[in-house]
Amino acid sequence: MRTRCFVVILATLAGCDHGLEPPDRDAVGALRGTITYTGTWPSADSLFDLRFVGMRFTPRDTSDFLQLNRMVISSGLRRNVAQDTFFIDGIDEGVLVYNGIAEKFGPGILDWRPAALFAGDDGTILIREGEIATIQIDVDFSTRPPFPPNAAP
Amino acid sequence: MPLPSQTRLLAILALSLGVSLQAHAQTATLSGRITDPAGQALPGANVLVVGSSIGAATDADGRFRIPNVPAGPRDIEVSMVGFERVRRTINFVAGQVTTLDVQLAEEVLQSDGVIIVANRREQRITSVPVSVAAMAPEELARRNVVSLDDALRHISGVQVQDNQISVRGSSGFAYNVGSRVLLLIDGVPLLSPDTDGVPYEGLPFAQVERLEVLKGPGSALYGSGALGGVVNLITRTFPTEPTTMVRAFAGAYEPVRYAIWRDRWDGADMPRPFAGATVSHARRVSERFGYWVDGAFRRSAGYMRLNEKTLVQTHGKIGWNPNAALRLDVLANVLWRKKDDFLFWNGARDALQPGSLAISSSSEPSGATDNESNQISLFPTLTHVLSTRLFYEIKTRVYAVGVRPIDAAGNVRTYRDGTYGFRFGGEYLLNWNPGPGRYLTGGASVDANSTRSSFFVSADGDPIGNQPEGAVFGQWEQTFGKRIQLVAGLRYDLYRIDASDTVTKLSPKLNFAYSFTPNLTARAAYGQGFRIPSLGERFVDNRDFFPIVRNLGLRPEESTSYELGLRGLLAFSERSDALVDVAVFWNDYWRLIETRFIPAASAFQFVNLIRARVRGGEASIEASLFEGVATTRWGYTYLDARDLGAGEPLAFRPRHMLTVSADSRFGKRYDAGFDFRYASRPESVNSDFARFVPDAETLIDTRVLDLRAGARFGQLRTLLILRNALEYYYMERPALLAPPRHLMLQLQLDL
Repeated sequence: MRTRCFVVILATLAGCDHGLEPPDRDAVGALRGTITYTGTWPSADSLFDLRFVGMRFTPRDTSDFLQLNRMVISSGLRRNVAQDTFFIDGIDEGVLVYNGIAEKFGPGILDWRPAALFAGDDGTILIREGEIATIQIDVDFSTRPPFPPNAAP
Repeated sequence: MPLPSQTRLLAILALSLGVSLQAHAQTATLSGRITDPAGQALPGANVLVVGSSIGAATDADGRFRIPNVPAGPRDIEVSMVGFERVRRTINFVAGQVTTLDVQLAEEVLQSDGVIIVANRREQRITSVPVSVAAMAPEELARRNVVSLDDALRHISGVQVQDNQISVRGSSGFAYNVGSRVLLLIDGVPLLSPDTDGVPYEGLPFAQVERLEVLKGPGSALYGSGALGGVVNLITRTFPTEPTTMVRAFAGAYEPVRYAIWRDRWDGADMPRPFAGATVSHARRVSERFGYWVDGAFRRSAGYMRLNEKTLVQTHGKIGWNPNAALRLDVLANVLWRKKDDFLFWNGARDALQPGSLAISSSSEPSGATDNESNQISLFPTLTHVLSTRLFYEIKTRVYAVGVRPIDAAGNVRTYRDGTYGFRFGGEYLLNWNPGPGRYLTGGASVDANSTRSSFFVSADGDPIGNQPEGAVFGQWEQTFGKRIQLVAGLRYDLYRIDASDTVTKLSPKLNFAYSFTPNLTARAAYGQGFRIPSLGERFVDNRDFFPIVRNLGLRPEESTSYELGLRGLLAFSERSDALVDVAVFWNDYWRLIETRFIPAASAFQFVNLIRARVRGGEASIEASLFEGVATTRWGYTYLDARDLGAGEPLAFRPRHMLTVSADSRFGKRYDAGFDFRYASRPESVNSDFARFVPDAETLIDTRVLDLRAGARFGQLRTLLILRNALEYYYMERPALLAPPRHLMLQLQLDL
């Protein structure tokens, strides 16, 4: 009787699935960028980090930098060079609407600002499944774009 | 109680103290044998001189011997779970040996034998007018419980979200900061001084008499922290015969099923081992002195990257009866631990690796921290029995915690780079039984909490936070006839927070029980709870690792609880019975503290935010079949948890929870059992958490089956445990994969 109860219960439970599975993300593309730098590079103590950042939304202020799940971020870029490239793969397909090179100007975690924005195609980047989008960004350290985007330069 | 009565009570105390110190000048000895109705020996029966702490347990032959019994007329009580209590009055003559042989009659309903102390005094579980659950030491052993969460996961209405205890939906998760459930060990509060977190691992599970969970606010008796419930771990006393136990276990997490998870971390391709051992010894050296001590070691490679842990700890307890009326118990613990804390994953496609805040400058994953910690506690308790109706306890406590961070190069930094804190204080507790069915429990406590942390910026700008506190409390219990029981309690707490603020709180409780029959009781309970914010929640201020700012204006969380319940014992036959409990509850919460992003500060902050309501129902059944050959425990809880401010489901709470356990013996040697638990997918997560943690909103039902099979060969017991047998992948809280299937073998040698 007891053994039968155990077997029935275990057989019922064994019919369960395996729960969480890694999400299927076949619909991904990649992005390759070329960056050219002009103007005087900031000093080392005012340039802590430099990366390409693509956003699926237009930020309102620096606090939106924490919406990491809606952003595409490159690894750190080289500094004090005339030109650099980056490549990011595994990007979910869709449109990146606010894109540019971001510089970290202080030690605080939100001490970031744009050094330059991507200017082609109205500033947007379309990521298509299985394709590599290519962009060119020109950074002029003497002329930074306004931030937030609607602020006066 | 008015002041004159208190003065009178103190006079009684002082008078009785003098009387009791003289009373043991001349003593006698009591010996005898306790048997069952068939005349068979009853080992483990308790024989107690009523009104004193003198007593003994019977040996394997049912025999006992109690020396040093004060001369004169004494009440002797013989008890054993499953048998009716017997009380005899004996006139002891100094220097003589008196013989007492007792044949105990069986109780028809055996499940009623569970004794709990939810009301600060021992009561049978059927007569407690609140929702409470208990777990026995053998249940802990057969699940290889080495951490508190291992046990609590199997209690109905309790949810463990990685390292946060939630009783009936009281808590979401906040990395074990600001627990809304109070942990007691032998009635002494034990929350970490820096964050008011629960120390899951520094507990003596090899020496536990019972684990109890009070469901609902307990602040009227225990003060801050008991907002949602109370977990009380009661340690065992000392056996008549010396016992030594060696328990060792070893096992491994099996490689995860999905290649995409394994491919991203080399360590995932092979089984990840874990092991541990506990050695314990307990003995009563004389009728006046006993002790137990245990030492434990554990090591786990972890099933995720940066998830390793090594732990060494020792516990000890001594008990000393200098005379019939006095007893001193001292419980102590020392712990050393080195571990990685896996905070959040790198997404659902990279679940075994910690994530990173890509905007931080650090090259290390910020989804994990590495630290070395120490914990020391010392809890002396003095019990003074003044008469058969009156005793008091003086409890003192010291609990110290130190955490040292480990940097990227593996160097252990200093305590000044981390955190160290102390919680210390004492309590006076009086228990008075003025007459049949009447009990007064009252007392006062004073505690202090002082913590220094490199992450704290307190009100005066330094890294040290202080929080002294004091309280007076009282509870009156009265039974009217055989059917009605009334319990009323009130506690007044005063907290001083870093010399800048004083908080006071009055916490009432009222319980009513009506017994239709001796085995069927209805109850109604009302209570209030509160929680003072921890030092960590008020003072943590850091922008290097994670942008978070202090909040000096944080106010206490408060709760009010209403409950109606029915508890009954059902006898299927003389050999089988079940304890059934159903309850409906309605809990309101004010100013629940959550972390939120504050745009003006460009940082996160702990803030009083949520006005919440958790309503629901719970049903449980614990059955013992065929004289305990098979046991089973079922519990179902329905939660309707709402964030009333936002008008949406309260984050991290499931709607349905189910726990099922069953165990059976097969002959005298073998046994087997299982635990199954289900929790429905939480309906929401904290949206600010989901901002920066990838796939934080990926949630799923919890469906976990644990299997076990054991055998005993003389003094050796072997136990094979397969946890998460269905290889079901789930999360107890967002962005953290729960342990995959793992097998372990436990060997226990009882000497």
